[in-house]
Amino acid sequence: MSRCEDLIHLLSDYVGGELDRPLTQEVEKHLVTCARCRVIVHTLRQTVYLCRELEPVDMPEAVQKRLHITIRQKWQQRRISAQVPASKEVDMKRKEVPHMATKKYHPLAEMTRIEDAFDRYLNRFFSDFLPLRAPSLWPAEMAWTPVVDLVDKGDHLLFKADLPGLKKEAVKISLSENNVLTVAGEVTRSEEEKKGEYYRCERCFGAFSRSIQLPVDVIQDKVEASLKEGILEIKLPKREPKKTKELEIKLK
Amino acid sequence: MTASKRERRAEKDRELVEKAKAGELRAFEELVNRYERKVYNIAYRITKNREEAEEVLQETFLSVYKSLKRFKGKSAFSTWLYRIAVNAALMRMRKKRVETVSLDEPLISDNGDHLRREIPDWSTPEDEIEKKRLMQVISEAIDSLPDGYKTVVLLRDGEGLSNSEVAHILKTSVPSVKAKLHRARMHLRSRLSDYFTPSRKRKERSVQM
Repeated sequence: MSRCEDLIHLLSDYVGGELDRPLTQEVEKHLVTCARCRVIVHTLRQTVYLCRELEPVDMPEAVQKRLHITIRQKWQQRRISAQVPASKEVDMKRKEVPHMATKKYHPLAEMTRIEDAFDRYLNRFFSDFLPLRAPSLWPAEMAWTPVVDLVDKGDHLLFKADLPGLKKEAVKISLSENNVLTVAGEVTRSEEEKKGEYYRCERCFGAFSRSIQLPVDVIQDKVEASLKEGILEIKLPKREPKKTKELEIKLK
Repeated sequence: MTASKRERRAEKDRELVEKAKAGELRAFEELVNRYERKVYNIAYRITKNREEAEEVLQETFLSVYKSLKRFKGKSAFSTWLYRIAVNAALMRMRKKRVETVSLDEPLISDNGDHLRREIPDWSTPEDEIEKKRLMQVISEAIDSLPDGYKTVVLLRDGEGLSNSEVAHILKTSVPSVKAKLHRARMHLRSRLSDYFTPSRKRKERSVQM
């Protein structure tokens, strides 16, 4: 018994093949005689194996999409703040392009940085008065996210989103089995709107997608949605949690 | 993952890091593609909450993006990334647990399983169903580990990193990683044994007054 006690702290290293030779031999000598420790080693080995085989949790597509949008926006912000000349304009109307061309840095970049900073300063100064070079340079073309509310209304959840100027046909709503609500769509700019030189270009255009994990189970087939005056309302009736019987335990 | 495969992966990572540093969004996105699932997975395992896992995911890559210029490549990119992710996830857990007083990691026991009269041998599952059940039990057992042990198991066994990599990520020593790993594995093993010992199971279910 005491032998087992002595060796037990070595077993994790043993199954990992991390013990040196003399100790490995000592453990193995013991294992020949001790059935109990053999079981421990087998089950420990299986434990490590199970940990290795553990299935990763699946990452929802929406999560991945949001991550990539965030990264692109950050990257773009940096690019836009560096004021790329219009001639090097990148076509930002292609929303789903997986890889966007970016301005490459070259050795001279360091030298032009100071110049850029000065440009930026001037640009900030004049941007209120001068038309933007191209409306398509606006980051909003790329992706945007509508603002939403999610309210608990007792027997149902109420989801609201501002979707100005959107028609019913342009909005897609889906609800996954694990209660993730996704609202996606696209705001397009008409040809008429694209004309003219912009002094301000702050309204959002382009594709959007917003996914929200609902805090409770909802009855999937009783969800109602409406879009009125640019406000999307989704009513999601809660599923009653199964009532668990309370058991009274009497004191003896 | 074999050592050479890991080496090749690290080599490709280095290339991508250099390109991303030079301003190539494409290269940075490729790095994100390579690791987003791993980061999400470990964040979820630590926080046990999908929303928080997503926030950790975003936080991690934004942080990587911001400090990429300062990353000198002394350690592998993956090690550096894991460190950022694990720290972000643990930080959240710490913020949530205001009631904690002890600064030390609580000790976990292996329930003295080796002292039992009979030890069930469940090392060869009979069929797929039983294997699935084992997976379920171990997954829950890992969830219930204290954070310090959990992260060691997830990184060492789950992600297949080496002791020294784990030590580097968690800013601790190799002996400390080994000690934690041993305790955690023995504890998990014991939890699985509980599952296969009917008498013990009954005992745990009864109401204690």
